[in-house]
Amino acid sequence: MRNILRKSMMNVSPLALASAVMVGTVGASPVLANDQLVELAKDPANWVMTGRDYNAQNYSEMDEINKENVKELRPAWSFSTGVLNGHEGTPLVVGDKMFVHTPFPNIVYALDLKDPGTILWQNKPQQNPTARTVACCDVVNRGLAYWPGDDENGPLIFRTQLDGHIAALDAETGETVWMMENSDIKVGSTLTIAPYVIKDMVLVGSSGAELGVRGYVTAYDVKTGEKRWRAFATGPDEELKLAEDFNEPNPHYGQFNLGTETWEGDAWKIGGGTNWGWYAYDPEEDLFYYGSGNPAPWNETMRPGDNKWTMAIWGREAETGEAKFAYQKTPHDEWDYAGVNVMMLSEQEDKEGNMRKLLTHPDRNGIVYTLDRTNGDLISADKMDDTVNWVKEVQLDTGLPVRDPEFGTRMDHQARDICPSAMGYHNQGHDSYDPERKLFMLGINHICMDWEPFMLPYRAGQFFVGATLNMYPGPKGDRENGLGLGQIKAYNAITGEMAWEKMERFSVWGGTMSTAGGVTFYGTLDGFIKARDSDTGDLLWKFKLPSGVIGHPMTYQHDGRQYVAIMYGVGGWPGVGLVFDLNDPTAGLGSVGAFRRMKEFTQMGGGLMVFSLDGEGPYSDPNVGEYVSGEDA
Amino acid sequence: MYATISRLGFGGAVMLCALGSATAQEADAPVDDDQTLRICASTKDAPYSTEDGTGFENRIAEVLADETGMKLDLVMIDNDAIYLFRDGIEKDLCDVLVGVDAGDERLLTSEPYYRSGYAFISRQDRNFEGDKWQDVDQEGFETFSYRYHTPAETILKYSGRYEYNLVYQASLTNFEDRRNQYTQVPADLVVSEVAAGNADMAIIFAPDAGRYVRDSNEPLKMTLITNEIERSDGMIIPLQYSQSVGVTEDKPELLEKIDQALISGKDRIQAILDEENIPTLPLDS
Repeated sequence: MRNILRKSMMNVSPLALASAVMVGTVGASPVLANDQLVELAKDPANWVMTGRDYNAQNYSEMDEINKENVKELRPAWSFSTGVLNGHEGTPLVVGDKMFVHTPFPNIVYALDLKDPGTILWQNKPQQNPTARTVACCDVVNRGLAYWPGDDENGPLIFRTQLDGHIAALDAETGETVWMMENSDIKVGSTLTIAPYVIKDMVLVGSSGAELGVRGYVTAYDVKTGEKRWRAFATGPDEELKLAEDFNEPNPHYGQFNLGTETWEGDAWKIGGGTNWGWYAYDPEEDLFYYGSGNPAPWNETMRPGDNKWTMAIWGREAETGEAKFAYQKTPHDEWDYAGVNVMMLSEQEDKEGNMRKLLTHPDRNGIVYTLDRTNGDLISADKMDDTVNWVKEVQLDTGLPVRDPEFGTRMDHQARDICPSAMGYHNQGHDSYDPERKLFMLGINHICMDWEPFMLPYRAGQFFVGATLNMYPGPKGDRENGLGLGQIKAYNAITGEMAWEKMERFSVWGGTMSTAGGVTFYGTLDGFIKARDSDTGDLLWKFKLPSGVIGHPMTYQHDGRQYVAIMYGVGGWPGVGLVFDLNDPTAGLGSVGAFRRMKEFTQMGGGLMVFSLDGEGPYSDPNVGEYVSGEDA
Repeated sequence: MYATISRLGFGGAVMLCALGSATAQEADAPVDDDQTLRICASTKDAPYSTEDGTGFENRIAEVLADETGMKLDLVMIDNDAIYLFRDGIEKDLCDVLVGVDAGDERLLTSEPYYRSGYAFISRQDRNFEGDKWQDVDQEGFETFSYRYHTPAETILKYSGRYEYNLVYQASLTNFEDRRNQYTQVPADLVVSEVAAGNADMAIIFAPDAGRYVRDSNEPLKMTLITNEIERSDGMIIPLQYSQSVGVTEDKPELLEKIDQALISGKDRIQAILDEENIPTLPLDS
């Protein structure tokens, strides 16, 4: 493992580091990052992590922009990142600075919110260009993490790189403080996930399941990059880091030895289960939550068994990495329903009127799961659309999905109209939760597929097993014209009801943001940012961006004014046809066919648009940022 | 001897239609009559078949045409050879594939004309000994090059060597995304990796490797594996295969001509196999 540290760091003995950790946990005085991040997030002016706060609610208490005046939103300023691939995620705002990330080559920009025409610093890493060919689905990146610093160290920005590195940048200067190799590009492992700061650790996932990567999550010391712990998704219990009481409240989920026993032979060693989605954290429980992805290899006939613990919702203790619970949503996945989707935390009364700490997860398989996040109890599992058909229901007592064999993907079976398709009804979008309305605002794919398996024999005992995938709009879309591929819905996790739902021309790929102003914002693949009434779903405002959106909106306040910002830049899996100029409808596992009409609406781009009421902002005073002789050093 | 090469690629098929209808006598147009031997071959199946028609099966195709007295129409398909049946025979672009396993159920197959097997290839200076598939599990032999979708994968899995080696193997295709895609390592690379010392051993069907072993500057040792694999479910995976000419089920009379040609052209074909440095086994073994 390669390790680039500043020279001064090299002299720290392991003993000294270990004792520093001890002090951090046992000692009374140090203010840990999560306390500071919680405090920073309490100020609605900031947006300190990808999901705004540890609850990952993407919700802002600001109401300066509200359903009455949202139609007066106008661009205040904009910024081009200089990169044309798909832009996922959202920028961060801390105080006077905004931090903007890009897809490969993974540049980070710091902008001065007083005068965003000034780039405070930019950091562009040297990367192995091989990374581009290894990444499966465009060269996206989902965002940055911020560590507020302590008495000795200044604040840091963390960035993942497609070539598998995690870097710590000085938030003031942009200088690279340390860099660690988290995933070896030589083993086909890339990084697209946004890093996540808890205490004085930064958490990083992994990508590249199909190339024999065995998924893991790793915690690094924010100051040194030293690895604190690493927990795998498959394999022996020690490497899964299962707590002694793992799944004790729900033994029917399975407990010990299953990371090896639910695989044939040593197949767990190349079993996938990477995690490239989003994290959430409950500081009181000291548990963080995330989803592990699909098992590998892709073809299910090659890996009999449940393939645990791929496709699972994990609750792990941040300090040790130990898993308190894991719930496998899709045992033995046949569809590529990689369950890395967002985990949104809320506190709500359950049906019996008991206040519960909840975790809600709209899974790629078309089910929205809500668990008690203290122990993993399954509280509800509802279809996010009634057209989901691979599963008849999820039994709440066993946690098991009851499959409909008609929509399975066995070798001897041609399946028509499997919903959702391999892209899932919900992919990487970061959705939001409105605690006033108790509604989860879900951006949804409405795409189904035909699955035609084939086996091609060749000489000398060789054969190739594959499938032809054709994807098209779900039953509620316009199949004849290839449109109606998305939905936006407001979901109540306690009643299971949808407060409202609207169809979209394309998938709502990037996710949503909701606000106390009663407005839900999101971007569309065809390049609009839209605002809907959070109570009714009525469309209140939209603006045409330069390119389609696959990231999620954010909001911040500066100088007393509320802004809404969103990154544009079409790409990612839905955009592979556009990005790589593909025409075969079955290419990109069928994405090219499903999104064949997107090029009629948008083309590649890459940047950020920032809106405010009437477009008021730093340049309302035209003298801001003007050239004055002798003042630019 | 007459030989024409039709090219059926992406745009090739369009060209073909245009030419075919305009001038029936044009040499490029495949003609389906009993005087034309329509053989499908891949543009990317070295050493069997190559775009320039110098693969050893391309040369055997010429022998077959010559011995049957038919005019050869070598229909070049711009895709991996695994697609030849689907994209050539099933679409009625051709009637014959030069190399298929004897008894391939999709086709009528000729009497086998040679038999060979999977082989270990290592540098001579490594002094590798062994001709059972289990012999792959030896100290000092850690890294293996092979071709995907072959019994070589089964050998490595059953030896407990597969997972460790997977990363190296994926590097041979530059980590190309394999989700639902046919991905293959070129045969010459499998061999040259051993010569270069990057792989300790190659496991490969010997006809894939013969000419590259012959041409290697670094002396290499090629050993045919002599046993077969019994899978945990009891199924037998043979490691030796007899090769036949495959003929479309629609033309049993053509199969008779091919069988005759294989007899009359036996020595010429054997000369090609020998030149190719393919180790062969007795046909009745």
